[in-house]
Amino acid sequence: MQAKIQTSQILNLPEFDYQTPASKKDAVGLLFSSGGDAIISAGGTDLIPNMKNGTIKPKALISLSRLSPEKESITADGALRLDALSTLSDIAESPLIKLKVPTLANAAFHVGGQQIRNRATLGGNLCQDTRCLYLNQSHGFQFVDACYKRGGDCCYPYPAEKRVCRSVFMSDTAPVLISLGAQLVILSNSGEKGVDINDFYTGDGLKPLKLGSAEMISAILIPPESQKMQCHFVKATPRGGLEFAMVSVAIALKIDGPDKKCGKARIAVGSINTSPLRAFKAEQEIVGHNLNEAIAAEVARKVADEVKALPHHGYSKGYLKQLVEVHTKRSLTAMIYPKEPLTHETSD
Amino acid sequence: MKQAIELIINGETHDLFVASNVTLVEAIRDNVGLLGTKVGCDMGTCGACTVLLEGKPILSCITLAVECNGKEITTIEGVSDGVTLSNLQEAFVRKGGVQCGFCTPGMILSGTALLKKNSKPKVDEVAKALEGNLCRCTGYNRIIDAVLDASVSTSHLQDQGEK
Ligand SMILES: Cc1cc2nc3c(=O)[nH]c(=O)nc-3n(C[C@H](O)[C@H](O)[C@H](O)COP(=O)(O)OP(=O)(O)OC[C@H]3O[C@@H](n4cnc5c(N)ncnc54)[C@H](O)[C@@H]3O)c2cc1C
Repeated sequence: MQAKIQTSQILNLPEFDYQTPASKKDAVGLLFSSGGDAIISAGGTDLIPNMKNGTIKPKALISLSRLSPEKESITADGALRLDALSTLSDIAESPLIKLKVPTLANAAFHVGGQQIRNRATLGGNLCQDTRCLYLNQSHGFQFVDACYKRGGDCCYPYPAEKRVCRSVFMSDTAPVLISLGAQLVILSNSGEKGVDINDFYTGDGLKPLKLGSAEMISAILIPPESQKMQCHFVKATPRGGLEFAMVSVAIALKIDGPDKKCGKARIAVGSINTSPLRAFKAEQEIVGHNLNEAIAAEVARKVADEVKALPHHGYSKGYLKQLVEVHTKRSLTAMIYPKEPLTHETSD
Repeated sequence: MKQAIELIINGETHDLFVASNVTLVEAIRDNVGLLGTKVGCDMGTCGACTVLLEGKPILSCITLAVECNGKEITTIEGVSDGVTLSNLQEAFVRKGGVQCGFCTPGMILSGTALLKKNSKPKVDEVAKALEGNLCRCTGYNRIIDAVLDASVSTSHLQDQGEK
């Protein structure tokens, strides 16, 4: 071994204890006994950068690296069961997922680059921290006081507001799983419970997840009825690669018969607010109608009115609203007229 | 808290004693002394630190060394035998895919993994596979050309097989 030459550390990763439990049950046991000092590390692709820039400072990491995910499967009651530890590469390439819920494979395929997807897990994607231009900077470069989310007493983007954090939740898979009506299987010391993914996000940038400090997502269930719906996902980015979304839109529709009557609809919009947003009112407007281009345009306008965009990463509120409308309209049109070559999967 | 780990880098086993907050790239560069793997952003964005973990490209600057205990790692030093270049490396030379060279090790590893999985990728598949590797010099065209050029011959697969 050569002498230590230290050429490789630009950002400092603080010290922490490190444990590698042999099961998920042991992992939540360790979380519980740490009394809130420990945090799970799955792929670490969100966690390690956040620890390097000082956004989070856990005393201990409970690493899931020794555990291998279970293969995706169909349960006795027809639900598609995904292990939260599945990597995004696994999800993107799984024939079963591509067949049953192609929008999820598509969303996973558009997270980061292949190096990220090979490590990043589905559970980690759903539990990633919120982002803002201030927060995701290394603090040493900034010479400013910490913001609320870093334990300080101010907010740079919203200086007038008190103790509010409007950092944006940018998961690509969350809006898709919302559109698919997914259930999360949450594991803790007291066993498993099911949580509707609609109820999992708090909308509070300071604590975006409704997840106890000794709980983890163990699996994700997609009900059988959703597997039969038509689905669409768009991630709007400025370059088209290795980027977080400006806006993402995930839609699932039940379209029946030659009249294309809409029997059920779920519309979720990601990356524009502290949590993914669901357009419940617009969904009600579309159900029962025979779908056509005019309806698509009208519903898209309603979705854009209903979901409130926070300006983020340099994009103004008005621009984001327009993006929501345009991409919702294109998505709906592509779903209503599936033969048309209008699948804007990643758009420019 | 330091712990003993074993990294199998380019087929050679290295026994290291590292703290849990040491990243894989630090272990590779500082402990093992292989300096081909670069550190660019140190935040998982630029791809300069790309290495193969069990054959798959990953970012060694946001992966903890302790997480790789007992696993096989390929760095740029392991892509060829140190005398002859791999097919893809030759294609980079032929097509002018290298300018300052800082992104090149990561590009070669991402490209090598792509060609192993898909020996005849299309342009957009190459671009997608390289999206996590930033290059500030070439404008990417020559890099993409190089990967396409290397894909015409699949002899690199045998190169990899021998490793
Ligand atoms: C360059 C770059 C680009 C990126 N691009 C995107 C992108 O386009 N879209 C996107 O959505 N994300 C992106 N990310 C963020 C991140 O890589 C992904 O969200 C990834 O899926 C996180 O998964 P992970 O397993 O690495 O999570 P980790 O980093 O291991 O964990 C993230 C958080 O989730 C918690 N956690 C992990 N697993 C569980 C679980 N099973 N139960 C409960 N809590 C858990 C951890 O405690 C931690 O708080 C990017 C990151 C980088 C560095």
